[in-house]
Amino acid sequence: MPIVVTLDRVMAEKKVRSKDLAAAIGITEANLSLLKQGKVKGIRFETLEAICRHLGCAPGDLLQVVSEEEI
Amino acid sequence: MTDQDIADFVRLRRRSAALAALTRVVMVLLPVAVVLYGELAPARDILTLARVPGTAVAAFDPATLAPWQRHAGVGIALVSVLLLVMGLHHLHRCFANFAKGQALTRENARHFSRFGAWIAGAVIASFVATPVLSVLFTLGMPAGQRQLAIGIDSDQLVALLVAGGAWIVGAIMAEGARAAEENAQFV
Repeated sequence: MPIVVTLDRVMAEKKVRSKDLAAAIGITEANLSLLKQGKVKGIRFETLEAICRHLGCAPGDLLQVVSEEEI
Repeated sequence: MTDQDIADFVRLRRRSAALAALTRVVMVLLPVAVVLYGELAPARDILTLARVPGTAVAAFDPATLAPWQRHAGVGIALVSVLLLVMGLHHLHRCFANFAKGQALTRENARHFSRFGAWIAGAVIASFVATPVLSVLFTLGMPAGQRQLAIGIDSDQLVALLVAGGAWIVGAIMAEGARAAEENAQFV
């Protein structure tokens, strides 16, 4: 069961720009872009916590388990 | 990274640049020194280097050492030296990469392993060279006085251990580089 990163959706809802979020959580915009596209091998708890704190959301809002058919 | 870590890394880069230059100089000077020594050194010194026993060296007539024997001896000695130079080339590449700030990479691991392999090759070539050189240099002596010397000294054993150590360190570096690459894919 693949995990999909829904960060871009949460960012749109909260009206947060990539540049601002990257600066707030201390990663590069390039890495944030890779994370939004799900093109990273993993996410550190430290990064996840910083994102959740800045966006005011829970980890479950950012990650979603989907079935193969939904992809 | 703390300030101390950064300072240590800058120091490592500076020292690596110096060592890269030094290895390059040694790579050029070593074969030249072997050729000059082989062609110009007194015959008895060359025999000692070929591990011919002291009694045979004392009885040796330098006039029996023909120029072709010197040239051939230099050629044989150059084999292990050139293998050593190849090892130094890989060590030079490691230092040059360190100097550029590229420490834990697959390329460096590969160069370090190859450094170990070439050094091991050089030591093995020097094991083989000893009997060949002793026979070559004493060919002009009367029958019964020609020598076949076989010998291993502590320097060769240490070099072999260093080579094995370098090969292992290279393998460890490769594993570390793989872990670093994987870690870089985590945000």
